[in-house]
Amino acid sequence: MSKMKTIKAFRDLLAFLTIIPVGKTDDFVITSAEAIFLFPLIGGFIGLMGGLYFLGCNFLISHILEFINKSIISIPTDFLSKFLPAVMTLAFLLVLTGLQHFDGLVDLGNAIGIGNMKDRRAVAHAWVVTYKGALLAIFIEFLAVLGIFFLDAQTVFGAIIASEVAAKLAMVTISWIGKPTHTGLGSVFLETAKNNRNIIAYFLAFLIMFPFLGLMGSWIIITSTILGFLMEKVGKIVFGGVSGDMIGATNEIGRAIILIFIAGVSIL
Amino acid sequence: MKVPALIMAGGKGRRIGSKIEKPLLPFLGKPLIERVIEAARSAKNISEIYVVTSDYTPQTEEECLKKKLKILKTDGKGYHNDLKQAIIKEKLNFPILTIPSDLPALTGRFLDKIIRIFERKGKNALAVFVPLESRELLGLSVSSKDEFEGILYAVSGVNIINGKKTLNGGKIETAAYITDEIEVLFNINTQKDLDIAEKNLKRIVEI
Repeated sequence: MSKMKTIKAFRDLLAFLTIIPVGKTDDFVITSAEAIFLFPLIGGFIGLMGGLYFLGCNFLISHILEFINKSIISIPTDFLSKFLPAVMTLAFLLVLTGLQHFDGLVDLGNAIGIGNMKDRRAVAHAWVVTYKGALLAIFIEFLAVLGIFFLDAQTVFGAIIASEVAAKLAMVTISWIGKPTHTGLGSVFLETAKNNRNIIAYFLAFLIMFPFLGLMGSWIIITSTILGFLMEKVGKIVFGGVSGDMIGATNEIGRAIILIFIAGVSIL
Repeated sequence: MKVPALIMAGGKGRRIGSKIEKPLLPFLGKPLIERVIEAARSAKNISEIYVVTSDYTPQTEEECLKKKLKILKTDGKGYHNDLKQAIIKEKLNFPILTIPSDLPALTGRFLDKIIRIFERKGKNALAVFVPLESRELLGLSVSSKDEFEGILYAVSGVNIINGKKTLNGGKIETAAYITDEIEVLFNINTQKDLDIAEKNLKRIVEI
């Protein structure tokens, strides 16, 4: 890739995956699909922002709580100084990604349990949130909050980065192996995303995670890859293939699972 | 149910800025209109094919005459005007399918599906719309928009309309089919549309 092309790729990827106003180009969806192997790198960047945001929130809230505790009223400082930053960080990550992936999760929830595929696709396209959609989204995001909450102070920063990297890697996996529901916009993305150089994404993911988590990174990559395969199967059953909603839902579920995974390992 | 198809090829094609008439522009080596004619010919539910031309598209008319297609010549004053003229001229007082000549990925199977949907919906007209964002996400232009149930869509130009209503007047109740299928997703208004469509369609279908 030439220098100009690389800059364009990064700009388009940021425009595709976040709400950061980088000034996207017209064909940013295509560029993002072509450069999907760089998704973990953008995940690393998003994770870094999330990690720093968490540390900032944690610092501020602990001091505020300490002040309240000392001078006003006795409150559970330990609990709140971890729980509030966890909720705030997740909210930050959801906003930073423009709620795009979250929306996919809601649509997947909306569609689950509906009789035939046509109705499932229709409800996923409609601008509605059913109780099932809300339930799935709240459950998954609650898991992510729980994951951040249970992480210890030494691992939390790296774990947030790793979870974003692994979530993006799962998106690479599902896009690489997935078949579209129909030949439309989604198939343009998926066909463009099918490229053997996507293997680079797995090495990139490992390299980003290694300084924080060491060899645990390889387990996270395996987990993320399995999730990508599983979500492809779910997509096939629910929608008859992989849609944009499925790719988005994979990111959200990926983040939650990896956070819980790292929290679990660090507690054990 | 079999319906006749009107291929709309009388527009000025101003936005493409080419010396060649838009329907004759080569798309991956084959003129756009030829691709559309092939699609219409391969549809099982199309009874006959008319090509609607105007003074803006004399060469298109010539090419279609060579292919022994029926020509309906109109003023070229826009899609709706030309369609109305064609309906009156041929006294088409039954459902007809309109197809623009700038959809390179169109297939007979898609057109058959549209005819089936029209039958099922049971209204006097069916419009095929494309979500605006689907076109915009690929960097494609949107030539005209229309509102359906409060949401704006890109007009695909593929429609079924009961000619009887046009001839007799009265309110036309329209049903809509909203899709991002490539058959209507890629329409060619500008040179950039053509480049984007050529690049992407090559990747996903044999064309």
